[in-house]
Amino acid sequence: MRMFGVWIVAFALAMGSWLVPAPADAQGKVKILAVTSPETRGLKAMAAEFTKKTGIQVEFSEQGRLGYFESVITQLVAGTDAFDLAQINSTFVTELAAAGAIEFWDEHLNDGKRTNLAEYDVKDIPVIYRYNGKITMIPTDAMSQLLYYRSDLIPTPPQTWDEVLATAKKWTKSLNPQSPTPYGNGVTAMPGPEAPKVFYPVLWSFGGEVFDSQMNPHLATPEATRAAEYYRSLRQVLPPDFNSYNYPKVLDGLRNGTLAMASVYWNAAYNDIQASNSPHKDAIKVALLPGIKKADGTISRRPQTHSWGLVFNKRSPSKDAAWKFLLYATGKEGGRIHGKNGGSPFRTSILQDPTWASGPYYSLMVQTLAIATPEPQVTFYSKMHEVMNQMISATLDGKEPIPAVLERTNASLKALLPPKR
Amino acid sequence: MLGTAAALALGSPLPAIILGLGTLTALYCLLLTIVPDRLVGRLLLVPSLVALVGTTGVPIGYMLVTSVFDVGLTTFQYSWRFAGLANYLDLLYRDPQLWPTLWRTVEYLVFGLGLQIGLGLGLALLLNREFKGKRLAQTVLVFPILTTPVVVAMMWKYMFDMQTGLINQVLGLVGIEPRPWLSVEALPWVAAIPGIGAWLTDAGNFTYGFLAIILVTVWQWAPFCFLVLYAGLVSLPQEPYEAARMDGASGWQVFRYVTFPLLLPLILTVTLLRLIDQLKVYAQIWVLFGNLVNTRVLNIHLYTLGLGTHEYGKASALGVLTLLAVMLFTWLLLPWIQGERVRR
Repeated sequence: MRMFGVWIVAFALAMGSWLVPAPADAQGKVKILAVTSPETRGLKAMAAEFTKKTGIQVEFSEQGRLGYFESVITQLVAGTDAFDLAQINSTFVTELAAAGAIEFWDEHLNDGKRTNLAEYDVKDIPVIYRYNGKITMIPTDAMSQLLYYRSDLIPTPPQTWDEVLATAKKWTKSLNPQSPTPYGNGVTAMPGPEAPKVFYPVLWSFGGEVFDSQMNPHLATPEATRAAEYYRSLRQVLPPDFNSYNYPKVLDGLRNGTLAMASVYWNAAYNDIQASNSPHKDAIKVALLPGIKKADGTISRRPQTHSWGLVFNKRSPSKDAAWKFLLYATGKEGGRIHGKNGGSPFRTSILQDPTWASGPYYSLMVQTLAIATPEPQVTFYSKMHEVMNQMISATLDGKEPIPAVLERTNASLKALLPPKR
Repeated sequence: MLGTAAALALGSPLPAIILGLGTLTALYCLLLTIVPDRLVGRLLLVPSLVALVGTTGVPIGYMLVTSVFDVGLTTFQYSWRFAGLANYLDLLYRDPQLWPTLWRTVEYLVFGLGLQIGLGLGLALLLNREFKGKRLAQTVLVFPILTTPVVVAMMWKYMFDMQTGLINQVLGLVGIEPRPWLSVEALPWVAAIPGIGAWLTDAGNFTYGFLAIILVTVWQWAPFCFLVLYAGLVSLPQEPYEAARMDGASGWQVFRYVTFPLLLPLILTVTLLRLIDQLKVYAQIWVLFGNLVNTRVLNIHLYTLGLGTHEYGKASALGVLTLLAVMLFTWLLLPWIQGERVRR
């Protein structure tokens, strides 16, 4: 009886395993790991058009924002071949290139059989990311920051940081009981991918830098101190639970009327607000990021910029199909489809095309991108980002004197630098 | 082997793996038919042992190896430099977040566990009596355990919202001003304690945020403690209770001298189970505060080192230290759980 039962199981298992069909040829399919976002909506619309033209299927594997970067970076570094392309923020690309986890684009781009360079028009691309001279990513979306404000309360947007604070005080209920909005300002202060990026425009416009031109940590300076002190002063106009404010919560705050302003907030939110049914959506306007008034009367504005794009997995199982999609996604036609479906196109020709990119948002984006600065592109970005997150938490916490916070941050940054040869 | 070789010829690893496993299983079944009866029992344990070693032993071994190498994101795919105990020393002496994080973890365990066990025991005693709606109450109490921690945390995040959250709305009905539950602002009634108030709020984490984390944990897991302790209560022998009643013991005396000692091994078992589980806490705190340093506990710090800053060597060292701590707690609590200390 024992033998009979065992043989039945063995036979079933062996037959079952032999009958498993081999997977379909992966060469005609591109697999993309992406984050749930308006940009991905745009990518999907673009992918549908790409499939119509080429017959190559594009399959998206979508993950939520929570822990997305950690997940995608870990998978790439571990050497996965589960996807060909991964959507990622440009800030992590240098690290991934140094880790040997992503494919450089040059070989594919310079191969005349695979790429029509004249049609692709590299000169039309304002930002190309490189590591040791080799291309690591050409973005699909340009990200930068704008000032969001309730035009029904604030007819003229503030131009300087001081004006931001004064305006925000006027629309904070604890300081002005007549204010219809509980808080005058909102920033994404929750530690994570955004908090340092939101602080940089303040730091830079005050004249501060994270590293000097020689790559020495440069935060223990009077300029950085003034910037951090200004940032701390914003506490009085922020919601008391500012620690929990991330991208969605600031967006909710604007849409439900909790916030009168978001002084440094992402351009991507513009589409989100326009598409919402918020009672305030028509009153919420965007403007250039504020800055510091210089001696000549001009304003030094220093928005931060980064991009979203697709990195090419070094172990991609279908490199030819993936390259075709990359070309399309970063090309002019793909860019237009992407932009019409929630993405933030980055090609100059698209942003400056009046027949397509009309309205105040696009002209603002052109102006913003012209003056925007990226974060330091370093091979220890994740560690630097963590140090900066801690610095911002300590700054807003308000317990420790700002110079002590900055001295400690400087020392932590110094410890991250690779030994000088 | 035959299956694997044949499948490899197809040029894809997936059928190779499936066919290889199929062939191995068939061989295993064949072995079962030919071994003597006295060995069948041991042979049947082999798949479980393989699964256990594969899912626990191998990762722990890998973690031990990684902990003595200088390995991070940019070096993972290249050669790893042997670092000896440098990762451990780095953590213990140079990581500014480790000790505050450890202290916060201990507080989280003490307050979280104390409230869970206390509330669980209270509920178990309450529901050990007959009353109308008892079954409904028992059923409702199980709901939080059935919910995923991320969902629980998201739900509480909305409820804790200062402007639109349910908790502040309810507090508003009784005239209490909105509270910043999702902030690290000091708890005013603790800060007002003369002498130690400032220390308790600064170093002792008596903040709204930390209280919010404890509340979420207690809400989700006190019902688990209730469930286990209630099962223990209903299965206790009735003779000691009858003897106590005959001796004229009061309700408190019955609890103090009969129920509690009899239930103690079970209370310690629940404590150990919850302790191990609480050390693993991640989702609740991450959803509420990300990796904010003021609310960071050991596991969040471990995650930040391992997957945030990608310092795999250092994260593994912290993992080893955490594992040792759990083993130590288990070793200390095990005699109590087995009833040896209680009997003595």
